[in-house]
Amino acid sequence: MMNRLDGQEVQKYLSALEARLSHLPADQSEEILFGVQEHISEDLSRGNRPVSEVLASLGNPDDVLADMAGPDSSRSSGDGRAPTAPRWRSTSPWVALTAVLLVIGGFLAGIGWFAGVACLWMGTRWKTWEKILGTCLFPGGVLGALYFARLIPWSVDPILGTTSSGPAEPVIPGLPLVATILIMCIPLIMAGYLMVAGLLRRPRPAKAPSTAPPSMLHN
Amino acid sequence: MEPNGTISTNLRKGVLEYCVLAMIGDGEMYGLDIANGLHGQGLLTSEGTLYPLLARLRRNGQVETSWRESSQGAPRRYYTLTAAGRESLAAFTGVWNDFQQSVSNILNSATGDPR
Repeated sequence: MMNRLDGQEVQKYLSALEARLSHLPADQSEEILFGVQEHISEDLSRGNRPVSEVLASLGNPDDVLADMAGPDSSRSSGDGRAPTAPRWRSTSPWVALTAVLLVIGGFLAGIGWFAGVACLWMGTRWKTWEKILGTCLFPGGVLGALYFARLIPWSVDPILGTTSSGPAEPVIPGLPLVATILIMCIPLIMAGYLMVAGLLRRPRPAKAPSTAPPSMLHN
Repeated sequence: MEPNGTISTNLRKGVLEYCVLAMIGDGEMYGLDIANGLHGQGLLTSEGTLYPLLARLRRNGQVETSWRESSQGAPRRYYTLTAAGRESLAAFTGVWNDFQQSVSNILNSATGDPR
């Protein structure tokens, strides 16, 4: 399917749609995006219409979201429909707070990192796989990484020939220090990625309905 | 005076999800075929709007999806009605028949059409 979606015009359209969907929970936006991808791929495979016509028939990305502001939006979650996450969970300060807590939250009475994970999973600007990675890399943040680095057997006991993390000779001089720094960089890099990805997915202000074909979005 | 486009847009918004349920009916349908069918009937101006609607119907338990192999390559995702979807469609059909009759009666009496 993907080879039919590689065209620049299609990629621009899907990127624009993904950005418009960013205020939705990740599972919802992924489902919608996947449906549209499938639609484009299947329509192109039938060979009846050129790419520009297929994209024009889908409507511009703002039109695709028109249904989200339709009859459903005025109903409460009490009718069995999925509730929408509170707006504050998709704000930029929420993104920044999450990233900071994931990195140094371990130093805040040991519970700050758990608060960061809770913020991450309640947030609406990350995809599910990003939330999983953010949780796993690294439990406890920098503190957790430091603890993990201490557990690794960096040295060999000169008498017994066994590895240990104690003060015996390192296998490679300087390795423990370098490796510890590298391991501590993992939560920093992960939090940095989550921060950038979250901030880039800032919801855009609602636009007036437009009838412009998608190709006009790329000008 | 309200433009015709606005009237039809407002009417479509109210009935589109039930039209999707009706199109799927007792069978199973692929997203593109649902979009083409609705577009052909003038019920869907932007085919992309179908996918947020299908996602909502699935979350509400009115449709379910299944993957099937396609002769043209990638597996396709097919939509079928659930029991809740069929109930919802049946309820709408009952309401719609009465509603349509009432509106027609009022419009005909206003225009003097005896039908």
